[in-house]
Amino acid sequence: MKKNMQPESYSAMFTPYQPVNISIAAIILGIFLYSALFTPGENTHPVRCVYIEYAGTSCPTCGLSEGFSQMVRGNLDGARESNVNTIPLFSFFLLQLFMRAFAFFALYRNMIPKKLIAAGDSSLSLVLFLLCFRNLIFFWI
Amino acid sequence: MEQENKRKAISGLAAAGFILGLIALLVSIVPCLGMYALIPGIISIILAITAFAKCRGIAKAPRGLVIAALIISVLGTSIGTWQFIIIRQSTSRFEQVGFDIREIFRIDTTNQIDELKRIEKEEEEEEESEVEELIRKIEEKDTLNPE
Repeated sequence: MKKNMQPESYSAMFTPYQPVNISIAAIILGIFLYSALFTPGENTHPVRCVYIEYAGTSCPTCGLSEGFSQMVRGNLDGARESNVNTIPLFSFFLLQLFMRAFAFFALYRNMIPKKLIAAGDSSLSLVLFLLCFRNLIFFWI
Repeated sequence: MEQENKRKAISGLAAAGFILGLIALLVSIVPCLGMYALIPGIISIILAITAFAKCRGIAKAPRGLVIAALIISVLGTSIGTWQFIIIRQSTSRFEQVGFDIREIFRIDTTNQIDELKRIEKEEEEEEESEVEELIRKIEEKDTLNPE
């Protein structure tokens, strides 16, 4: 009886959707923090390209870390110069962060039905992924 | 109550598998890091399979999330494996070419070292002859002007 009296938002917190939302948001914030910590142009990013390390050649995503560092500082031209894929990929992560926040509060406040949020979120994320990662996807195809 | 606890455990496993699978998928597409997708990919496959196996006989289990986690993790791990194979192939090719380059470089270096040794020897000989010339001149002066 006591369980039934709990608000909808309380039970919504225990659905697997919310931990997924929070974790993805935390990962994206971690990526932005990593980009903000390292200064662009100084070649200090600890993550090195495996192609350069093992094969001695560059790849289409070389310079992406520096591009992200430039984007975090608001330098769009520098980001584009570092790697042409920087802006679409950064936009994807930024939009995802907003989507996670919206989905979290929509579910918490019980504004939109959970099934509708899940369906809309997954389809929108898929479209965004295909749009922003198209250069990399088609590179492999 | 037991069913509820099992459902929560499955949810946790599926959520963890889904997040790790998502990381694996995103990392696998980036060529710079693609190879590293194997680590979260394999872990997420294990988590997703465990969650899938536990779903049997549990009412209202989050089967959708479990299946999504399984698909994403398999996709991410497959692309990661493909990248790993590509890197292994290019590494072996580079090693082959690198060996040839090293061979050529070694020959060039040997020639350069020989050249340097020759120049050094010539300089030493020149210095020696200069010193000998000086000694000879001093001796001549000494014989002409004895004190």
